[in-house]
Amino acid sequence: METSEPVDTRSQATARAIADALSAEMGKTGFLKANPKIVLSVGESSFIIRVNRGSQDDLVLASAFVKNISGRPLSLYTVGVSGTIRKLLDTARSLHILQQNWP
Amino acid sequence: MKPFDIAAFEVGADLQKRLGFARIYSTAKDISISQRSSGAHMPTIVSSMDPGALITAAREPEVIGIMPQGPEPSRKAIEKAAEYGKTIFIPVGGFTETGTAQRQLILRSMRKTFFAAHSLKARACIISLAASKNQLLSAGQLKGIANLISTQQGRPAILENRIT
Repeated sequence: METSEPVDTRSQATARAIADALSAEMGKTGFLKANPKIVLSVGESSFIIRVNRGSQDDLVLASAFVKNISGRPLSLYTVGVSGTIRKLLDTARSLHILQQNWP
Repeated sequence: MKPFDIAAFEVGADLQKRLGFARIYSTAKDISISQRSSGAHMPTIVSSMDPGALITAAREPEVIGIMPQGPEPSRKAIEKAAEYGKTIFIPVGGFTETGTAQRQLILRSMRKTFFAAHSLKARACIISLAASKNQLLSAGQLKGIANLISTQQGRPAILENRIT
C-alpha cells in the first residue's frame, strides 16, 4: 500500500493511526477477522500490510474509504496484492518504489 | 487488460503506473465533461439530471458517454445511450469521501444506475473522477467498489472499464 503524501511508515504512531483508520472503515468485527498488520516499510510512503487470507478484498475496499489519518488528509492506494512478501518487493522494485539494491 | 480511469486533474505517469491503470485521462486535457454537448472537438461526457439533455447528447458523435445525476436514473436516457453505443459513467471518487449515513443513499443510487444499464444492455463504466490526489483510487480499489455496486443477492460482479 501507499499513502497519497509521504509519511514515516516505520513509526509506531503512524502504524497505529493507519490501523485506527482501517478499523473505522472495516468495523470492529471485520478488523478482528482480517487482523491487518504493517510488516514492512518499503519506501517513502509505501508499506506492506499483512492480512488474514480471505480478507484481502475487504481490506482493499476499506482502504478506498480512508481519507484522513490522525486528522491529516491522507488516502491509501493499493499498489499490489500477493501471497508472498518477495513478490510484493519485486512489484515495488519494478514500480521504482524500492531501490534496486534493497536487500 | 489494464483498466482506465478519468480524473479531474493531470495525474503523473509514475502514479498512473503505481495505481495500476493503463492510463488516467484528465478532464482538463483529454476528455471534457459538461451539462450538454457543445460541439467540442474532444471526447465529451455529458453529466446532467435532465433526461432530455442526456437523450439529446447520446445522439451526438463527440459524446462518448453520459453520467446520469440524481437519485433516480432515467431509464429512457440509458436506453438511448445503449442504442447509440454510448457508455454510462458512474463516478465514485466523491462517494469515498462521504459520511457513513450518506454512503448508503449514494450507493443505492449508483446501484440503480448500474442495474438499469445492465438490464438495458448499455455499457457501464465506473470511474473515480477524482478532484484531488486524495480522491484518487487504485485499480484494485476501483474494482472493489465496482464489486460493491454490482453485486446484489449473489449476482456476479461486472466491471468494464474500457474507453474507445
